[in-house]
Amino acid sequence: MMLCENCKKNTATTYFKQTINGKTSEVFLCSECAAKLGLSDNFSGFGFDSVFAPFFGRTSIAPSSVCPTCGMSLTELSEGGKTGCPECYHAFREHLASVIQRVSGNKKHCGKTPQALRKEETELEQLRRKLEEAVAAENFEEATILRDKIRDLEKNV
Amino acid sequence: MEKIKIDEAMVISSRIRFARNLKGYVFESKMTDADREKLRLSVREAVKSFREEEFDYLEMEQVTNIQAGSMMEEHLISPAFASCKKGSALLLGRSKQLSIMINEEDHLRLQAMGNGFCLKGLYDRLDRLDDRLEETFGYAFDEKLGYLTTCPTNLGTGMRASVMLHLPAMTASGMMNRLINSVSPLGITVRGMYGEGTQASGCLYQVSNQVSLGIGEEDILELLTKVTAQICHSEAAVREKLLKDPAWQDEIFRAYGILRYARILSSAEFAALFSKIRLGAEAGLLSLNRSALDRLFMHSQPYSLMLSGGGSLEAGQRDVKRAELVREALSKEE
Ligand SMILES: [Zn+2]
Ligand SMILES: [Zn+2]
Repeated sequence: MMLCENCKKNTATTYFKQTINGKTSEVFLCSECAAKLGLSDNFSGFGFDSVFAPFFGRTSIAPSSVCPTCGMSLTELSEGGKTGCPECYHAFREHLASVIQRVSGNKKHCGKTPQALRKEETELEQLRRKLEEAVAAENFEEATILRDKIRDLEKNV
Repeated sequence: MEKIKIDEAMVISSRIRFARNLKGYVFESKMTDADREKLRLSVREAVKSFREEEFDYLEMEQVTNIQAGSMMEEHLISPAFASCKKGSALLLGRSKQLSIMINEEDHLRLQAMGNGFCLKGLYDRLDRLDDRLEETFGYAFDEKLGYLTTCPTNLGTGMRASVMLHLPAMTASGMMNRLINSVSPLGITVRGMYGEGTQASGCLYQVSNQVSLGIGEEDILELLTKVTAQICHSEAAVREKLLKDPAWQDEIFRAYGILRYARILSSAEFAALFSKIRLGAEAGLLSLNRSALDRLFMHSQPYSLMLSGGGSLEAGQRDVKRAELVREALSKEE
């Protein structure tokens, strides 16, 4: 009979596998300790290690089973199908990869990117965007000023 | 985008929504009440600098079930948003074309909606609103996964674009299942008018993109435009044949007669007859204004009826009220 490696009293009923910097180790826990450590014990018994995929660079116990930022557990995620924070996509990436694969194939985002990440707008591009906005807002006074600035800039080019 | 001809008469409305989450907050399911409050108030503040449109701010706790239901029937909010109210709020543009659901499944669901086929115009407005909010808050974004959403199925652009089509001829000829199967490999879904899991009443269908990761906004819109054009083309071909049949024309005029004079109309009967007279209007057999008909359809939905009727109504009372509303609307058209 295997004893829980945390309390060393109860029988271990759950098994976690973790990989830290390429080195895989295994941890055996009783359900109480698993719950205390924030690892859900909804999976009873052994043999579910395949869902806890290897994970690199983390040092906490079975890091992929709980999101360090929002506390979402893998069980909660699998049951609800919803992530709890942006960090979940990192913490559960192996698990989510198969979900994403099923929904969208193994594709990478293409399309709109937040302005903050776009390459710097040139002054001219910025003015043109502001002009477009001003016209859409029917703010013609501002639009006229912007248009003149754009003309001046274009002359200089 | 190349020019594609779409038979506008069959297109009831177009709609686009973006799912967005703000930087610095956990997602909806892990938020505290205080987080939700802070988020909704700061979004309310932020839209004030968006000069294209003025928004009214509605905290959903203050909204009655009937109001929420009728906003859902008008597609201003999602069914999920209508039923879960705590900490959520709606910013509704004065034009009723732009809206922002705050604290829905994602922090923000930005939506633009318009009559007829107008995806491109809607996209441009939504894009600008999106930029303005991003300037203020910053979004949760990943280079590979795109905009990070609560549900992995919305990753990528976080965009869902849809058009609502009236397809009575294809429905009558039993072609809808084949259509649904043929567009699904393209990443397009066809559903009933209130989306997921709802019935197609009145032969109204929502056609939308299913996939949002690995395909850009412009390509999504182009694909949806092409598919819509193709569906309208098939519908038109079937209609041409069907409408030559005097029995079909008879049904259209009979439907008009019933709607014009009936004293009791259940929602199912109304939807079926509505589809017939809208077909009549589209085909030029009945001189009825299509947008007036579409408004009538919305206003005849259960919650909207109760809203205008001033309170809760039993189904039987609604059927009387509905018939009244329909008679009145049609008599105005004469
Ligand atoms: Zn233990
Ligand atoms: Zn998380």
